[in-house]
Amino acid sequence: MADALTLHFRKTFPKGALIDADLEVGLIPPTVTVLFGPSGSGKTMILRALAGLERSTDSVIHFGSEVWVDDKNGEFIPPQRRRIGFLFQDYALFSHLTVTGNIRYGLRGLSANERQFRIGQMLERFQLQDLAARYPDQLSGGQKQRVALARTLAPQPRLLLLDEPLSALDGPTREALRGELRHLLSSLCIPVLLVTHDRVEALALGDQVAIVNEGRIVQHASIEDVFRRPLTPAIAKIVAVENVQRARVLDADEELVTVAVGEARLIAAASDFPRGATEAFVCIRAENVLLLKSGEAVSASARNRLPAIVKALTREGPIWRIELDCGFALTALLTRQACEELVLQENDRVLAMIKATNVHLISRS
Amino acid sequence: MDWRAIELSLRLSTLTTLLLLILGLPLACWLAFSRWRWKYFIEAVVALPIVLPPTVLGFYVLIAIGPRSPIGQAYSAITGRGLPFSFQGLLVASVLYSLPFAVQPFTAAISTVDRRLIEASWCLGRGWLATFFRVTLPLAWPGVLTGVVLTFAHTLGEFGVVLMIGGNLSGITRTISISIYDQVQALDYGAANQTSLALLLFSFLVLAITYGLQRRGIAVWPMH
Repeated sequence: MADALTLHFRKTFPKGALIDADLEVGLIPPTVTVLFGPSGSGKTMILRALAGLERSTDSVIHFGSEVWVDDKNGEFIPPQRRRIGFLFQDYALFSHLTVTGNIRYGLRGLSANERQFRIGQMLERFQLQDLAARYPDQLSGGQKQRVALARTLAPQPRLLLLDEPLSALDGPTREALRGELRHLLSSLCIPVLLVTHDRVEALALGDQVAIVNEGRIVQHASIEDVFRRPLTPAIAKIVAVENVQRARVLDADEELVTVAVGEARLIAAASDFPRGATEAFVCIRAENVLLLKSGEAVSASARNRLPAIVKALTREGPIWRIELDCGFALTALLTRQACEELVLQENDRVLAMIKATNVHLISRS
Repeated sequence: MDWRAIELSLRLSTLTTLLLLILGLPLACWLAFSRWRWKYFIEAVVALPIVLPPTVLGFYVLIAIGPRSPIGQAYSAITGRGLPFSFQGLLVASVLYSLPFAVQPFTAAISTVDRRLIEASWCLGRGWLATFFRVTLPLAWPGVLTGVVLTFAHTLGEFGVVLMIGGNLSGITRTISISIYDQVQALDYGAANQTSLALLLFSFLVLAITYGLQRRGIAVWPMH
């Protein structure tokens, strides 16, 4: 594809680890693609390969019609000539240069006026005017991040690569900057690839997500799709689907599939579940489980109504995690308010409600 | 005091330091960044002058630049003069003798520069030479300065190598330490004391300044 960034990167490490990643990202319209996966899965390595900071003997990278890497033909465009922006995890600011000096660093081949204009533009955009003469060690974490972004964006890169852009920040700052970063990324009009291992960050910042596991890209689709419909149980684990259970297929038609999980029965939307499959994994996100007290008026929209017993309640910030037994172990997440309204206690009998579209099936055969 | 010897020693030290700055920085960069598996052989060669007796080093340099060696023959074919017992020959030997005192602090200093800063510079479109002068060197300068100072001081005090290569020709190869030796041989203890004291004070000052700078900057002188 001409209007795409395509990567094939294969590298073996002395200790036996292997990266074997294939990725294709459309450039028009520009999107934010999140490389998501556990630590050590190789996501940063893939990002560095795109920047030209990591090399192997068997890789091919195309950016639109440009060939960046083609090892078979001995082609390699160094990072300097890719016109990309790379934001390092701890920002890598030049400690011997001021904020202005850092921003100016990548501005070459411009007239003095133009350079001054761009620096002013960046200082203003990232609200750094008052900090222009400071050195990096006189800045807070959030300020450093803004300087790093300004420095990276000043030369107007064609592709932005972000390595864990928020992980160097403390909790409250991170939460405050997450929204700002999302806003910035969507206003840039250049493709962005972002590495993170934080689910909240991935959901907040990405349009697309590529799941990286053990050096491979195992699923690449819209954020919504990947988080709701993981392709394999391993991916379900990576995207932290709380409920994954083995199931047996009892009945299937065009629209619905009925499965048995332990002693309980569940109805799932058929969507792309293969016809004729007999064994499956059932994935249910805990936030999609609704709870009602037994005997309350029942909403008609949910196909699955499972009588359940409350086994445990755990508070997780503003959310309560509720462990249920409904013939199989089921986890639900409720807001504090919902929990208070239900007056839930251990050993209470409740009704767990799950829409058929929220029951995702993975074929095991 | 033997002012000609002092002048000669200062000239030799300055030129040696300059040459080692030019030759040592690229070598230090290579040592800091290379992942070549046999790199430690080069490291050992660089460190050799620290443990080798100056007479051994001097002897081999004398052979290497002598009229029977290809280097010596090439030099005399070009310049019409021989390298042994000349200032130029002394310079060659001094550069080799002081190599570790320049290259080791340089390498240590360059290694302390965060690799990601160098990569950030590349991603911002700067080539490796611009990156070296704009990022690596400014961040490594306390260590580079240490190397410069140590090289200068070490060359100023060298004796054995000078004796082997340069002999004792006034104004050409008679350096300050040779001059002190001569003064002692001549039982002129007063003059020897004067020159020695000057050298002692100078060396002390140089080291005090170096360690003072290190306290303020980054510690860079490697312990070996």
